[in-house]
Amino acid sequence: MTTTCKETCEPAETVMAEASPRIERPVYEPAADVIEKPDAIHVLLDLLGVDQKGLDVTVEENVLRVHGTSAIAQDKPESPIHREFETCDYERSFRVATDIDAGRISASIKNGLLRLVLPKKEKEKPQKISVRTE
Amino acid sequence: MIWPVVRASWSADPMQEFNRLYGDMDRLFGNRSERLTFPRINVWSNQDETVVSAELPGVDPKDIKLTVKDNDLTIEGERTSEPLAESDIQVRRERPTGRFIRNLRLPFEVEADKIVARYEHGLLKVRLPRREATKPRKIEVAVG
Repeated sequence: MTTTCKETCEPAETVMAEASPRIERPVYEPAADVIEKPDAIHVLLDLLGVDQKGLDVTVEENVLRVHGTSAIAQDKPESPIHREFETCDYERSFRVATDIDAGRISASIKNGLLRLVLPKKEKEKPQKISVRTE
Repeated sequence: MIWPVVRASWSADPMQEFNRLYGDMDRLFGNRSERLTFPRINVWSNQDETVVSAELPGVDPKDIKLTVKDNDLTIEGERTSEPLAESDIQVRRERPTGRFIRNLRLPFEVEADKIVARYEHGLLKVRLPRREATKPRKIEVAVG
């Protein structure tokens, strides 16, 4: 049994090591607020410790993907007496149902809060249709 | 008559089953109990100082109030929610907002005027040096 496990695990470990040469840190889904405005969708994400350099936002086939690498160094002081959180990286994807203008997406990060503004494509804006009576 | 052996695995510790149940609940609900605490804090301490860090993303540092009395530290403030116009639709709301307060007892009295608090990328870090008078002292034993 042990040999079988070793055989299956080893190649996977090699792949993992190649894919992430950085120090291993847990990756969590950040909490998000999503607000749909008439002309844009606003996404707010709690990305503690992430600055502009550590942020990666992509949109591909209507999937918005956010990856944040924390700039905070892992604390290793001598005696922790109480622990509720750990330094981590963040990753989260959203499927965007509305047609958005990917070229005009703006992202700003301040105090560990990321704000994404996804402008809707022109045709998606509600148009008022006037009804004529004859 | 044959009795089914159901209690054979029970240990002498009556809390074990409860702890196991809590563990199952946490796995089932994704450890929600932790998420309800805001902000989450870490505390370290050695002979000379205590360091407290708190997760406060999206909070204006001006809205954070720190108070120390003897060996009690209080972190309080407010995380404001996003103002919504009438035409806006809140599709998802996971980020906790509103007033928060956390109180903790430090392992020793601290020098209130030497406390250093820094806020960076949403993380608050407070260094609280121990009061000189409360530090342990080595006493020389004289012979004679």
